[in-house]
Amino acid sequence: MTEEKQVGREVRKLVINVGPQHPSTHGPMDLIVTVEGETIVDVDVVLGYIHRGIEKLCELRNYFQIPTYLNRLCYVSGMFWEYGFVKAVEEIMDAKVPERGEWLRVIACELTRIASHLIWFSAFTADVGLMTLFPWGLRDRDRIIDLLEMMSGQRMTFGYFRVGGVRYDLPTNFDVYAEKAINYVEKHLEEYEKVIYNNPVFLARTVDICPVPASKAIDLGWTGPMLRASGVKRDLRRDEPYAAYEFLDFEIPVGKKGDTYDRVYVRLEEIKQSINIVRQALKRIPSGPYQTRSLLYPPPGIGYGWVEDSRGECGYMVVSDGTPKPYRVKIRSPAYIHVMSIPNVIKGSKIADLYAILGSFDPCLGEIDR
Amino acid sequence: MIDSIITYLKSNPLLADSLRVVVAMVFALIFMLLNALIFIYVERKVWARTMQRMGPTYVGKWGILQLIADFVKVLNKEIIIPAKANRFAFLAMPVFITAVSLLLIIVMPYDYVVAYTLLIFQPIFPAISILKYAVVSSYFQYGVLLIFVILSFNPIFILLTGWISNNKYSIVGGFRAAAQLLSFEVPFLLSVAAVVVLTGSLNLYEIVEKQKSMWLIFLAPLTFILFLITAIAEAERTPFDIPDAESEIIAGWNTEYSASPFLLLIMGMYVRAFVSATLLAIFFFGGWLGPTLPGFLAPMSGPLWLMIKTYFFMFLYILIRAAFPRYRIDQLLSLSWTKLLPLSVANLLIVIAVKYYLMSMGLMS
Amino acid sequence: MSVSSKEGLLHRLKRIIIGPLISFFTVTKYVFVKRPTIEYPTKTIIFPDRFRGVLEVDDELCIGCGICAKVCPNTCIFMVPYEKGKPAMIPEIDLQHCMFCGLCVDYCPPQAIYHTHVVSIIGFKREDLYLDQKKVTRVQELEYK
Ligand code: SF4
Ligand code: SF4
Repeated sequence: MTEEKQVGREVRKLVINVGPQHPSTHGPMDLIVTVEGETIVDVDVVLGYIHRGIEKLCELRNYFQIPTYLNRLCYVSGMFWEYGFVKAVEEIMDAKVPERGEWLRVIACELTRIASHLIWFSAFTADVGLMTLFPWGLRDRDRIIDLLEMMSGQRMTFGYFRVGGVRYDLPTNFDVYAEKAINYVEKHLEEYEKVIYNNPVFLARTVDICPVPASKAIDLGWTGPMLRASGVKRDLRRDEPYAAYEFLDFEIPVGKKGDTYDRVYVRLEEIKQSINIVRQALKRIPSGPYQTRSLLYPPPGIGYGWVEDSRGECGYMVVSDGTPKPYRVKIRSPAYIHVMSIPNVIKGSKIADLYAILGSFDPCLGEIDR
Repeated sequence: MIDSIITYLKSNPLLADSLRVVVAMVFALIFMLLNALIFIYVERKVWARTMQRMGPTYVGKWGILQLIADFVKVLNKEIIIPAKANRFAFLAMPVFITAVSLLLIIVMPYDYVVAYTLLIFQPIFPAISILKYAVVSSYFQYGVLLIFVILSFNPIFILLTGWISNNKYSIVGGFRAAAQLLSFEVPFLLSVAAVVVLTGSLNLYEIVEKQKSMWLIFLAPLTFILFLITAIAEAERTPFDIPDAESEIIAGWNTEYSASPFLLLIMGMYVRAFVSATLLAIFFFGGWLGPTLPGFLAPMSGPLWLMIKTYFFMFLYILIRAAFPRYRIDQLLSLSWTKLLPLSVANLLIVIAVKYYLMSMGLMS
Repeated sequence: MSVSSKEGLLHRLKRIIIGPLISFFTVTKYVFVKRPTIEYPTKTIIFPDRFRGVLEVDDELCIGCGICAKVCPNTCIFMVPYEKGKPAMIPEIDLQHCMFCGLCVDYCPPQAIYHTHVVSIIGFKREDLYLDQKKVTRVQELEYK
């Protein structure tokens, strides 16, 4: 509630506090927005409301216990966060993962990506005022979550990955259920596109809103769908292939202008690509063991594991000193980088668009605050 | 006995008139409140259906009693008055807004609906035919004008409500609401003017009678579309619900309200939405015109058709709310001033030309 | 589907008129579509076999080794002397802290501890959520419903 009068320019600036309990900030996050009329001139992002000290917690637990906590970093894309850590530890140990394990990891990750993008889509449509699509997205996500529950035993906090493979094999008849659920999602995906791409109001709210050119996106350190929406073809799954991605055939959708519309477009296309990948993987998955009994903890060393999360590149740096507990775990969260760059890209937008823009960044406060 | 009362009333016209107005008002009020409740319930259910949710289910069969439960719950809440707000004005504003919205119903033919529906009991209680005299709304020769005079109070009250709450979100919401309502008033009035030109009357009953040969929707579809869009905007419903864009400015101008004053504000909003649905039915779909029901139900057929048409538009409102996101305030204003305004002026000219042509052909008086 | 300002008038009119109708009818269709909701208290879903619900201990299989208490990341398993005498020690579980990660199940040598499909964990006191040695062997019977 502070209003200040600028000397000389006679422009009244109004400071609006958005959050931390604002209904549309996707979590406890505080944006201190300075507006001139309806135009945003400055934003301060205040984070840390749900800091849980996961990095420190990792230093106090054994290696095999840690993945059970990491899916809580972001419970809509838990698999990726387990995978990143597991990958880093495997790098220190030079552990080999059996082939079937790698393919199972691909399936788990891509299903999670679909679920994560769907829940993002729901929240985003609610941000632009299209409340109807909110439960649609959740409904479809529920089918994917059911699959993940069959695979891992839990709906969101999976605990599926472990060093040297995965925890469980595929359940029986999984491909039948998966095909059903995927078809269900695919059918509804067409409907989403019908509703939003034909909707003049939706287009007015997304096209040419907050465009970010490719060079700026790279400068800001953006990754994942956000960077691809700006037109950069960068995808860890293709550029630094891990797991079984090199054997798989998929496209990388990119946007043109990097505006909100492109960010929607890229994510919806990615759901399609993920569906495609899951289909291929279920067909081509080799048989054999899915995990190896490895050492309980790695030798001294440093490992960095990064995977293509649904939001960008999630990275773990794990420092091992040869004890059963890691010496240090550092988490690189893509959403943190995206959200912290809001002040750099948002200037000049309208205040009413703030929530649509914020929504299109896919902030997840769990992984931002850690 | 009835006869003696009638003769007495005939000898005392002033008393008779006041009695008629009172009865008509009571009818219209009961009708309106009941229908606002039905509107809210249907909206919750239908919107839930499009969302693939269940909507209210537990209280009563199909959750019918849910609204009553909510009503009681809201009444039980504490009325929170912000420290910086003017206490008296803060509490008075919702009453004004609801009162002004409810003023509309005396002009609308709701007393007709209730009276003629009750007339189906005429074979049992012959005396009930006296209710025919209680239909006062047909006497408003300038009814349409009156409706828009009443509607144009709204921006002022909404702006004042936002201002009095003395909250940043409320003020922003109030200004947005006033800007929106004011800018949509012009195309709204122009499209109504087209209706008035075509029918040559400002009386709702005459407008309906004029449509006996052909409903106006067939004569002037563009007018209908313009009126539909602007009516939605005037009722502050999605996609034009910027005043209470919940994800942007919490709840707009009614952010600070709670408990029963909030109930009044919501009531006012739904009353306006319902009235505009009825207006759509009357202006373009021939109001209560339609096939007469057989037997003793005959007097009810008019009200029934009017209600069917009104509820059709209610569903339309709800589904439009479900299918469209929300415009941004500047996009909305530019839509109104750069698109709807020229269109409605052009529409008015077209309508005048059509009317002139029809009159010269002798098809219309 | 991108929008350019140079598109033809006809195309633009089509977009403005047909577009909203398509999205409107896609939504409207759902008024008549069956809803996937499962009304929880009256109907329940069937969990997959692997579902990790409230833990239960089989005291005939348990050997009282205490591995489960060691591997639990949240240290919510406590080994206590068993009243019936065999095994000598039995795990007690604090459900307030358990996160159903399943590590205790994975590492139990005779697989004496396992997940049930009980999910409703309700209690009025903290003690209600503590599975002491009497409760921990009979979770499915008590059901916590
Ligand atoms: S439950 Fe299993 S791990 Fe725990 S004490 Fe018994 S036998 Fe050992
Ligand atoms: S499920 Fe996990 S948290 Fe719960 S008792 Fe077992 S090891 Fe501990």
